Amino acid sequence: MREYIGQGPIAELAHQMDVEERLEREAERKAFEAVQRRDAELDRTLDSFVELSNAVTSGLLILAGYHQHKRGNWRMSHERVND
Amino acid sequence: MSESMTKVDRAANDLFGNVRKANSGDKSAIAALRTELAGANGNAIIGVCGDLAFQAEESLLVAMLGEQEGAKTCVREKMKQMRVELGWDESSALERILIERIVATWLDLYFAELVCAQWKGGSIPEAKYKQHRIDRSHKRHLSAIKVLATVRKMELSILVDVKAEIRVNQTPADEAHTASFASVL
Repeated sequence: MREYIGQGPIAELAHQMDVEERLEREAERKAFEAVQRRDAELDRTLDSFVELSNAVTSGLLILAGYHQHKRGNWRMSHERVND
Repeated sequence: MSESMTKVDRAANDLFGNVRKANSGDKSAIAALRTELAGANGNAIIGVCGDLAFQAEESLLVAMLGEQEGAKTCVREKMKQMRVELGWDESSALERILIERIVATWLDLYFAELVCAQWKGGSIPEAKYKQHRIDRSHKRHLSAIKVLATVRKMELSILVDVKAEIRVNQTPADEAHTASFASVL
């Protein structure tokens, strides 16, 4: 949006303030994007560990004779225990 | 990425696939799973779990505290204390992975809360993002606690011999943190 504020020293000052405000907003936006990128990187490593630990846990539980019912509770699966 | 790391990644992908098939009763997948978790691949996967936990924790510490080595040592000490409280010394290899997961997700939650507490205003999307991050970290932490509780409740006596090493916040000056995963499940 444009607003006419005349001319002269006051107008120049207003223009300067606008420019500074815009630069500040731009810096904040860039900082926020950097935070999001950093968080995404941290999440990737942590999620890899969580997923792998889930797979190892599930694998060992299955070998112990359990099975996961509808992605919920683990139940003893009697028919598979002695396989 | 090294060749051995690629092999481990491939083994991990196979593991994911076999877990899904074995859970629906596929006997060949159960046999494959036994080979993967009892053999050298199993050891490698357990080792990778430890490495990933170590990487995640170290990255979080750097993001949180930068070069403040003293503060990082304090947090590492707290993490060490948590492991002991969660029964690290008496735990099996599987339980140790899960303890490490609780410690890592706690650190992530702690970091998310710290960032939010230090927040000095900003846009509404930014506030929402920070709150969403805390919620997600909280969920991940609770899930980690639940998995350890589930495994302990089942008192597993599995005939799978998993022997591997895990690095736990290991620094050159703190080799004592190295813990052996040699216990048999």
